[in-house]
Amino acid sequence: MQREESVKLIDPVIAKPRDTGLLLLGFKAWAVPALPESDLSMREQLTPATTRAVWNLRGRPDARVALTATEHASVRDALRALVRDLEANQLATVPQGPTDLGEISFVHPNGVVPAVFFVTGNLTIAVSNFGRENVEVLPFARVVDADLRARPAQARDGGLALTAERGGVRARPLFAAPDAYMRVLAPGSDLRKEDDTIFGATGDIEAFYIEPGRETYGTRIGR
Amino acid sequence: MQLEEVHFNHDLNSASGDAITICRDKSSGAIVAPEWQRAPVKREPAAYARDAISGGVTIRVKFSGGPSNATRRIRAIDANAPTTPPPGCAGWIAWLIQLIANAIFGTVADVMPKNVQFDAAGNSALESFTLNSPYLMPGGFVSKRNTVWKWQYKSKRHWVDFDVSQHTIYVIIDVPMAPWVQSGDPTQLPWAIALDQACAWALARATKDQVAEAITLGVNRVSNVTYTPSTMFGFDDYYLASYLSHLAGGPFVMNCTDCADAVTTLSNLLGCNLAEGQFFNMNTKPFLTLAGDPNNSADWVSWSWGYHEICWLNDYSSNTVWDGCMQLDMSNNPAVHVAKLPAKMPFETGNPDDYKPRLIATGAGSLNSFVRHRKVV
Repeated sequence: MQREESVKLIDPVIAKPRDTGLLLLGFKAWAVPALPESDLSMREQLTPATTRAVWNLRGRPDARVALTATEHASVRDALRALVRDLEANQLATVPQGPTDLGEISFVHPNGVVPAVFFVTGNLTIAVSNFGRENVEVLPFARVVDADLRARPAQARDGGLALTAERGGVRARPLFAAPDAYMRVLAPGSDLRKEDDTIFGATGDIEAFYIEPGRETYGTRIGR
Repeated sequence: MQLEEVHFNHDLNSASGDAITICRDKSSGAIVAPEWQRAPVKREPAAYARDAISGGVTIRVKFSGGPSNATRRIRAIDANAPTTPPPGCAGWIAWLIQLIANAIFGTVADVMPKNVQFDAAGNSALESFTLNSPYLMPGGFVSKRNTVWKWQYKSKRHWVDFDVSQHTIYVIIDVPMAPWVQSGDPTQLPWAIALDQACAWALARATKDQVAEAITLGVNRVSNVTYTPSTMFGFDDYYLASYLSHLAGGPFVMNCTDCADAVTTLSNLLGCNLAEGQFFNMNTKPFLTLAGDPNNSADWVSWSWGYHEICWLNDYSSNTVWDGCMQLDMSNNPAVHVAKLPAKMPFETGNPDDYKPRLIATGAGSLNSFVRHRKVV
């Protein structure tokens, strides 16, 4: 897709005041709700910031779905990176996807191998049909987007520390779990990260340390 | 007496008389000689760039347990060399098959005899031996060779076996080109895991053109791949490690950028000089999709593309291209398709059978301003 075309659509979203207040730190593509009726078959650390997970659909050997996620410093940086991701798509036009999916989304048109590209928090996410048999990917993308935006229903105190440092808030897990990531929520804020320090919070910050299949930990700091 | 060490890449600054510098994968770092060591046990592969070799190829070897303050004449021969054919037709056919297999996959060279001096403790210095190999000369070809050496010393008129060593040796056409390096960033040294794939696809090819065509065909004919328009293996860097792992796994998808990266990177690993370059805005004529069946009409497709990416010899000025993502339709009859893999095709010279007029129905197909070699990760 030509850069000018996607820039026309994405630049207004970048320019909007941001108040999502969502950052995902140390995110792994396989740390999302499981694709129904499937088995996780591959976990790939493609670059320090990019991971990919591939699921095989049970009983359908040619049906696979891949989720590729790249972590950026902020929502705006993720939106700029989405322009680049769309530039890497051969289609002359990649239509816009549902308006309620992520900050903005794009989908492959009907008749093309299903794929959806969107931004949630500071992540660019692509959910793609990865096998020979076409599988609808939009429902799974919606589940992933909703999960990443949500405040965990239950969280045990502790597990990570939030400390005021360098004019921001430093978030550190208190134990290392290879598949865990931090979800930072500060509604109404325009967040960005520099290394492990979060800037831009205007109110309370809540942080959760989330590992699939394990207890979620959470903590809070006032600003 | 026993073998202690074998050094293949003993001169890091040259490939003219020894092996090139390689690594196992992106995180292993350079393989440092000795590639073979008795204790602690070390078994690492080595690679030779055929066209970079001028004069004799040497290895360096150390022994122990030799005669105190004395000299021994030592050599190594192919431990798997076929012997004389057994009697009978079946025996002769089996012998012939063994002979051919050994020529393609077997020991790279014999180690020429040499007198080796041993000290009072029976240890040798690191001694230089010359290899006698037809595969490291102009007639050599791409191969991954299981080299098994039977080490012998001479006693009176007879050669006496004293040790056996086994080595994985890659023979490639020339020193790997970009993105691969021979010094600097260790992640960009030639990966042995990539040499495995490239040598399998280009096995027995003896020229750069043959290598590039074989790699293009290999990428195009991967049985578990289908086409998608979105880049799956990196647009800034090339996720080669991921591609190699998916080749051995379940079905997966890739696009033209991924194919151009695979063809360029694996061809250049064997000594070719290709680069990835894009052209923009086109509605294509029907072509045979990636891994498609030419007899299946559904596999003849056309697309409206914002860009397409292919491989160029050196850069755009060569006007010569390879494309692993498709096969062109060379037929002028819409009812009949004739598939042709674009390998060393002119891009655009005014001939209607050039790559560009065979691919593009309408649209400019204007060239990008640069070609590139994506870094491998």
